[in-house]
Amino acid sequence: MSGAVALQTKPAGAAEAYLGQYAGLRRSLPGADLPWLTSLRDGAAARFQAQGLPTSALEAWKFTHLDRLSKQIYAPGSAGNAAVTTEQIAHFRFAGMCEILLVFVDGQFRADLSDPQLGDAGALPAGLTVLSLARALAKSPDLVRDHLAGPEADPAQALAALNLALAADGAVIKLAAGTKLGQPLHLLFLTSAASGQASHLRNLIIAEDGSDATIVETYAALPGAVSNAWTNVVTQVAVAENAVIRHFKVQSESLEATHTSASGVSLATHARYDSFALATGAALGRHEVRAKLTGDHSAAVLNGVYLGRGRQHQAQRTDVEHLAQDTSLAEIYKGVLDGRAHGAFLGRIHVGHGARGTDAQQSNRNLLLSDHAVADSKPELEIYADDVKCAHGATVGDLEREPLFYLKARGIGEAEARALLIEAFAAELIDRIEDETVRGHFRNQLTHWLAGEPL
Amino acid sequence: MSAPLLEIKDLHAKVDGKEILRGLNLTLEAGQVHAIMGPNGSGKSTLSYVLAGRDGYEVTSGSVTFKGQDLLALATEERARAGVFLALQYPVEIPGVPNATFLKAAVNAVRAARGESQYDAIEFLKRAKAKFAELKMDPVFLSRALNVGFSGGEKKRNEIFQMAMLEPSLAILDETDSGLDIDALRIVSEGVNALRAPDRAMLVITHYQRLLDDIVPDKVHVLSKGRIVKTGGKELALELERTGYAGIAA
Ligand SMILES: Nc1ncnc2c1ncn2[C@@H]1O[C@H](COP(=O)(O)OP(=O)(O)OP(=O)(O)O)[C@@H](O)[C@H]1O
Ligand SMILES: [Mg+2]
Repeated sequence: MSGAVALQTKPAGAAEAYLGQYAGLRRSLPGADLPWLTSLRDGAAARFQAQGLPTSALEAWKFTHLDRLSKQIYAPGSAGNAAVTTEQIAHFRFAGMCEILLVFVDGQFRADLSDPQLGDAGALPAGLTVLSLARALAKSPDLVRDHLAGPEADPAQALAALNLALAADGAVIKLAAGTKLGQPLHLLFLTSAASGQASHLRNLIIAEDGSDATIVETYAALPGAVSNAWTNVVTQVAVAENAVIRHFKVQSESLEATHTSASGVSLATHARYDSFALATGAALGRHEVRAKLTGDHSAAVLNGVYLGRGRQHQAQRTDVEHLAQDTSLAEIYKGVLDGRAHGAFLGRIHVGHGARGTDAQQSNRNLLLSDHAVADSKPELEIYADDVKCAHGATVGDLEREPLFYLKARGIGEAEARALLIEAFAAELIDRIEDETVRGHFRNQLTHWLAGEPL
Repeated sequence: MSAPLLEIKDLHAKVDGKEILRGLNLTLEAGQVHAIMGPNGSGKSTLSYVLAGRDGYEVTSGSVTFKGQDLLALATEERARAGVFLALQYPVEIPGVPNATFLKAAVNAVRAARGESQYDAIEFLKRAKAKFAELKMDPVFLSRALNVGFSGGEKKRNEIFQMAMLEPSLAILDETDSGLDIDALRIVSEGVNALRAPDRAMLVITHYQRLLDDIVPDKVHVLSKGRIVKTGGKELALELERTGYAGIAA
């Protein structure tokens, strides 16, 4: 079967079409000369063939319908040479351009738009390795070999399997033991106006013992571009003993786009993973974090804000497994939904046998700004250990009346009072970000969204 | 004699279908301070909410005239802009809204209504910091989320701070003295006294005559079951302290 764009009606036919893309690209994908990788990719393709596109019948995909991916077949880009100006890039940079920036356009690394010091390993902070995946596979495949997770039997992970088969690029970041980065790393993934384009990105973050870094991923269309693209990302994060990774994500894709992403995080003893994900864009956006707390005293913070209007669908799924002693999870996801937007939150917490001393707190709060907006929320708790603190809660509603009264009683008009409270609802989580420039970046995104401005 | 600043006539109000205010009359002249005392549940906070215009408080009959206009016809924010200020018995915590951001929006809304110029961020902060210092508030509370993590007394002082910044012509203080230590009580009283002026008036709701030593009222009213049942001079507060409400609040 060919990988050409064709209109499909049945999801099964769509899965065949995506497999056809793999068949066509198998010999030209990065690392095609590495037998171990080809066998990994073949295995992933076989998995995807068996699993097909996820459907909402799967618990993990409840409330989310991927029809878009079968109504149209999104094909991996060929050119990757879209004209991009530095002004367009500057639009996304942090205040003071203080970050180490990696730019990807339509799924491919663009050295010409990225931080020049990336080309010269000696110029990067000591202990930090940053490469594109394609380059890593060409130059130092051993760097990634032990860290590329294979496909899983779980059909809910079918898009991750397809990602592994088709991944052409991504960022590979390695922090040697004890490396503490003073400046954030910023991975900027842009799509051009090309229609029907798919980007299967695979990022690896390897934080060795005692290292410490802040990493921000941004997914967006080039300024001014309306892009009906599909971005399918897998980011794997391995946080070793005593290491700290602060992981932030902005998904502000074009309102025509489809965005599916899955972060797989493993935490060793005393490791910390502190994350915040903001979703404002895409017609259909889904963000998943799967964290395995395998080391004693490891701790994860999973926070997120999803904003939707029009007919946007914003789905969030978290799946946290407590597999050691005295591990903790602090999780807050907040949705603000207007128009006919649909928000979904699925939060699984698993406390394994012997994971005593687990402290897991999960909360999902949704603000509905219109009568037609919908929020679905579904916690899932599995507790197989004693001496565990586990709490979860979900709310869906309009702004509370008491704060609204308080602001109006001080002379602030209805519209301004509502705007302040909506902003506050979302900003409460953003304000927890310690890094001032990153915090400012997220506050800006929020302010733009609230003002109804394109990002 | 000029018209009173506030005139409440035969006010009846319901909350959740239950009549709480049942024929309340009260006249407050500009320049005066009146205290309202009365047993728990007698309707003091309800009266303050009705005056401030909180949703869910339904006026079924009677009238409230403020500066010659029908106060009940105004929206909550319009009342504030017209000069009504209510220091809440239980100030609301609002995570995510910095104290200074909130009050700058409020002050500028009120100033705009009065035809006064808008404060820019610098001007506003300069004034806010000065007032904060007068109220012995730690400046960190200016940038912190509104009332979040403030102690009970700090919340009350923050209400007085807002009042000082907004310069209302009618200030209603609902048990602002409750839960304050002796020093805070003095600070609050000084804040209130600083705002006394011939064109302003205050309604001070309190359970304790202690506050009225510092903020000497022109009149003391006793509210019981939704009505003013007794009115006297400042000595009435002393009398109540001795005798309680038995006999008065039947
Ligand atoms: N939302 C409500 N629904 C039903 N009843 C209410 C509501 N709010 C107040 N009430 C009732 O109205 C009555 C008056 O309450 P209010 O708070 O005005 O009393 P108060 O005089 O301020 O009392 P306190 O001295 O305890 O502050 C009480 O019986 C109270 O239970
Ligand atoms: Mg009260």
